[in-house]
Amino acid sequence: MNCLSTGLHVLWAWTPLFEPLHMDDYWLWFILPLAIGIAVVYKAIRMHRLDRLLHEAAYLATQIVVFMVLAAFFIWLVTERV
Amino acid sequence: MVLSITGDSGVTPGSLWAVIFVIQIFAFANWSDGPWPGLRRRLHYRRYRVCQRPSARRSGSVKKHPSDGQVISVAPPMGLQKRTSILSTPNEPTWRPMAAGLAWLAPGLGHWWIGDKARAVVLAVSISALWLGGLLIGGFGAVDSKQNQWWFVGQMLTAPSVAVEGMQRTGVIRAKKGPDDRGLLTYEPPFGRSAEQGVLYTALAGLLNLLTMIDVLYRDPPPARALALKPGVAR
Repeated sequence: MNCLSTGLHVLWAWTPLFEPLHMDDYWLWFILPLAIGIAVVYKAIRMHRLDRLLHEAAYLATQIVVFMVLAAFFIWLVTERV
Repeated sequence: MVLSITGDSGVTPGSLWAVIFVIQIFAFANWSDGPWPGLRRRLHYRRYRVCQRPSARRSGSVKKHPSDGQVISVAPPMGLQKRTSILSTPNEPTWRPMAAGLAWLAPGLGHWWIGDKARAVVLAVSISALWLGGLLIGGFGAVDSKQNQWWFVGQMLTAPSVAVEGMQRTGVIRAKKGPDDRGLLTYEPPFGRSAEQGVLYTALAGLLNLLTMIDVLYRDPPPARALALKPGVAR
């Protein structure tokens, strides 16, 4: 509840385009729309027909996110445990 | 963009890239064979080879799309090696620099122009959402060729980024100089994660738009639109 009210306060005080969005605490979540955007554009260009665009784009976006999580885990392993 | 080049700070790498890109677009438009004839021939060759399967070579065949039965191409019998396409022939240049230029102006516009409207809408919505998302995250300061010269190379691949940069250079909008600076069109420069994500989103939108420009440069339009675009055919 506290987190929600803080978020609402941040949004209330925010002037779009003229002020940056203060997102230091949850910036990692912004990778998801990025991955989805990349997947949709890539598949829209590559596919001959767009019937299965959403399915294919969702699959590719999942692959991107999973690969990034695995890469992050590997880097964490190397830097923290080895 | 021209204003940004003649600004007070002189020529930046970003504006230089912008000029090179515009010159390249005009070069495409005025060069009937395209700037890379070798690449173009190879693309044509790949297209002809698709239909030269053994079954097609024996009797000659009509290639239809499996889902809707629409004729894609006609392969001649064995002995006649070249595939006859209903959309293009080897002697007919299929570069579409106009479409690439339109795609730079607004994402998806190039595909819309060649008649591939469903694809155009998907590309326009997704690339514009990424670009606008970046601008919402970082504010106008996310597009700044002085602060992020190399990121601007990616950002300038969409015309709206160049427009934002031009507005900054001409003084229509400007960065706040301090906490007491309360001008009407002054924006707060982003910092930290906001700056990173804003720049990343807008630059990635530009790079994805480059993919759409390359795609539309050599994409065959749907058959009906192909006839309309063919020189000498009544529209």
